[in-house]
Amino acid sequence: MCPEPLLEVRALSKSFGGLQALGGVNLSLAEGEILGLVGPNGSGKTTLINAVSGLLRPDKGEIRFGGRSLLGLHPHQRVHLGISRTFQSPKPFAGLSTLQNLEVAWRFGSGRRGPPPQEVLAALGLEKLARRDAASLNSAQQKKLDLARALATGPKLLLVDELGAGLNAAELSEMADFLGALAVQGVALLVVEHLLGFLDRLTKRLIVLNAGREIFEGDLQAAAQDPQVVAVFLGEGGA
Amino acid sequence: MPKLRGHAWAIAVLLAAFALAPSFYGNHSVLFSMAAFVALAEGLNVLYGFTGYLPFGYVGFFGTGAYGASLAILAGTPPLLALLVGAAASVVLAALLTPLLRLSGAYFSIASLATAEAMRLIVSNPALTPLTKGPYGLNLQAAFHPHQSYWAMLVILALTLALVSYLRLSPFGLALQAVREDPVSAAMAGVPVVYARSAAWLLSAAVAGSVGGAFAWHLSVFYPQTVFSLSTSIFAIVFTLFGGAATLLGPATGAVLLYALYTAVGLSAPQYFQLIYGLLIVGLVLFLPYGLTSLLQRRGIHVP
Amino acid sequence: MFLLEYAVLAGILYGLYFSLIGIGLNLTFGVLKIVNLAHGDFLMLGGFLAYFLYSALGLSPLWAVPINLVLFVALGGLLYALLIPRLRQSRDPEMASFILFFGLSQAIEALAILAFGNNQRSLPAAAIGPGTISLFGQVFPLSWAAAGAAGLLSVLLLYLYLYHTRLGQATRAVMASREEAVASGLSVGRISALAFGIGLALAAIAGVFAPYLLGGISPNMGVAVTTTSFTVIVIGALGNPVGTVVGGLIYGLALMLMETYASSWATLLPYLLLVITLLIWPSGLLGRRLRSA
Ligand SMILES: Nc1ncnc2c1ncn2[C@@H]1O[C@H](COP(=O)(O)OP(=O)(O)OP(=O)(O)O)[C@@H](O)[C@H]1O
Ligand SMILES: [Mg+2]
Repeated sequence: MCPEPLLEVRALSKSFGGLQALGGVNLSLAEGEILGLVGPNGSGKTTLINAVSGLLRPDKGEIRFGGRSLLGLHPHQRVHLGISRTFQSPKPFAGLSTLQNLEVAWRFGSGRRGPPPQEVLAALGLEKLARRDAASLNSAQQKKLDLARALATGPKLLLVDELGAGLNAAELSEMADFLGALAVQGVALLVVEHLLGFLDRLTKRLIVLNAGREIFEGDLQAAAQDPQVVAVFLGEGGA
Repeated sequence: MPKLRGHAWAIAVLLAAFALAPSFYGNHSVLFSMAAFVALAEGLNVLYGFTGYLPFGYVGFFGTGAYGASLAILAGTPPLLALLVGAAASVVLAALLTPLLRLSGAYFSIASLATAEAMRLIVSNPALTPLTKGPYGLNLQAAFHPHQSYWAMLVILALTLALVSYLRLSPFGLALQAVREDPVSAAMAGVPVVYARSAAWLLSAAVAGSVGGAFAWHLSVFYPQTVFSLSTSIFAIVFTLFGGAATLLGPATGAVLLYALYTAVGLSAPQYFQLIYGLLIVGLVLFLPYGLTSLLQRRGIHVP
Repeated sequence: MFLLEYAVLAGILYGLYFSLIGIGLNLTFGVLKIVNLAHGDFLMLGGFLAYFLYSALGLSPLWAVPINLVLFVALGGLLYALLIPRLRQSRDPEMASFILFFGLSQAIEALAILAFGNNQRSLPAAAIGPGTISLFGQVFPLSWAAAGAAGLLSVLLLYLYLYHTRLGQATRAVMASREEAVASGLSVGRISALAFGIGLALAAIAGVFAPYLLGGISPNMGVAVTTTSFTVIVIGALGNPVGTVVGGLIYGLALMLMETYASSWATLLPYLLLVITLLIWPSGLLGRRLRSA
């Protein structure tokens, strides 16, 4: 009876040489749902996003989106299906203006069916920078532009990799409202974040990764009580 | 649309100048070579300016086009049709070499240089004399027609300029530049990265191939080292860097100015030019890496 | 059978010599992360020095070895100071330096043509020492053995320098990570300048034997030599100077076998090998994978 989730990840594994970055991760995400993904540095969060967005090929496991397997699809084909992402350290297209950056994503990512570039810029408060060379933006602005680029492709699923780092308190709160509004419009969000307060504003549903394995699923309060989670984070702080 | 008008004007003025010049200036082969180098620099620009791949072996496509077209002419094909054969030969070569695009930066450049040298050695190998006349070169004097080949060159130039204009103004051109700046982000903007790069690569080869074909027809007698000479690549690279890549006017300006200088000082001692161009490359990299047009662009002026 | 033995032994001698040709380029690449496209032109200059020592002063070309060493280390330091700091500031230093050295190579070639004329020079076999040498029953010119020995010796000395001297260890630290070397207080600029100079000197020393093993020296040989050097280091290991020997030997053997059994196509070899190796192992047989698409 339950409708098939939008994103379904099953037993996903990936090793780099001897290092297991992902060791059999499972998760599922429905339309309009927000899932937080936390874990210490190097626990495999970005690797998971890379696998879903097609930048690297998992060793084992399955990724299904809207009922179909993503196996063998190129990154841009996944974008066309409605999977988009941001980058931990964004690289905007230098030499192109902010607006042109978005035009590329809008035309090639969504076939002009996504939200128009001007609108996306305005929604993120970047409209004054429309004609500036994207390389001249500061890092907070580049992060917003990266998010804008992802949105201009008209995603159904948005993978957000540490958007909060480098934003100030006011920007963070604005960003949380913004992402919340996206979910209300039906976009599914997988949010990787170190700032737990930020995540707490967004969702009650968290997954904690450690060394490529899921060690917890539940809400933030429960996570704070979980001895394994506490050990992992204290261990990180002490290291 | 004002941008489109600017481009149309620029192209029209350049073509009109080349069309009228033979009535005022007697040395038509200099005019022909200048037009050929404008087209070659623009063809290199299609690849280097818009994708960042710098093919040191660009002359490989030029030479392949020259041989493809000439062999077709010798086999009885009408010259205009033979130019298409030359372009097609270069495109086929480029298609075979698309795996080179997996290499980045310097690796691509050197590998492309190696393929051009390999083409020269293959074509001039005595073992292939029955097919290519080996080191003895080709003679097309039966088809010699400087007037027609000049006009054919201008048509090729017009198409090339239109192509660069298209890249400069179209979303496809923007997408190529996005790939140049960061292929991963470009893929995540939905750009089919491999397809886009390969398209630029094949188009760029088609330009060099058809220019090579017209050049061979115009010259009518040539040897392998004439059309596979590394200095042809160097000229195209210097002209493009000097004028400014990724614009329409940059490479054309660079080619016209520097080739005019080259002719004015005289062709008697090519080493002086090799020296000047070599030092010019060094100076450009150090002091003006984005070429003449960047001087205007820095002041916020749009250059077609 | 006899032919094969000859080809293999000659391949080894040539292979050691090709290691010498490539090793300086590899050292420069390892330390500076740039491809010195003028490498072959420095080899050519070193060769001309040997040629003039013999033809003008009557000295053995081998005297050019120590002279080249001093001269080109100094020249390297000078060029480094003039060019590299400014290059590092550009947006894409790797590509910028690559284009720049391409220009430099053209300028050197042109200057050499203006100075020495555009023709090939060679030295008489006797200049380097009389007669032939017999190895495992096969007879080779003495110059081949000398070149092979010079190659072997250079690799050994470079190995000792890199692994058993303090300056060499510092050089390896820069090769491993420039940033960390800066952070740990090494004078990275000087170390790199020296490495660049040694790289040029090794090329120039290889030039001394070019009249014998490469068939002569001419101002326009640079591009072919640079491609050959690059092929050798790509087959071996990019950025690992000692690994150059593997590339040199494979290349030398392949060349001699081609010359023996398919001589008219032998000139194609460096180019084909380069492209094929780059496509299959982008960073060499022994190298770590440096770049992914
Ligand atoms: N392309 C790669 N090659 C080799 N190892 C990699 C690669 N990508 C990631 N790794 C390794 O895999 C592990 C997981 O990395 P990942 O980037 O997924 O961690 P993360 O959870 O995103 O960490 P952070 O919070 O620091 O961003 C790390 O040990 C990392 O060094
Ligand atoms: Mg990460």
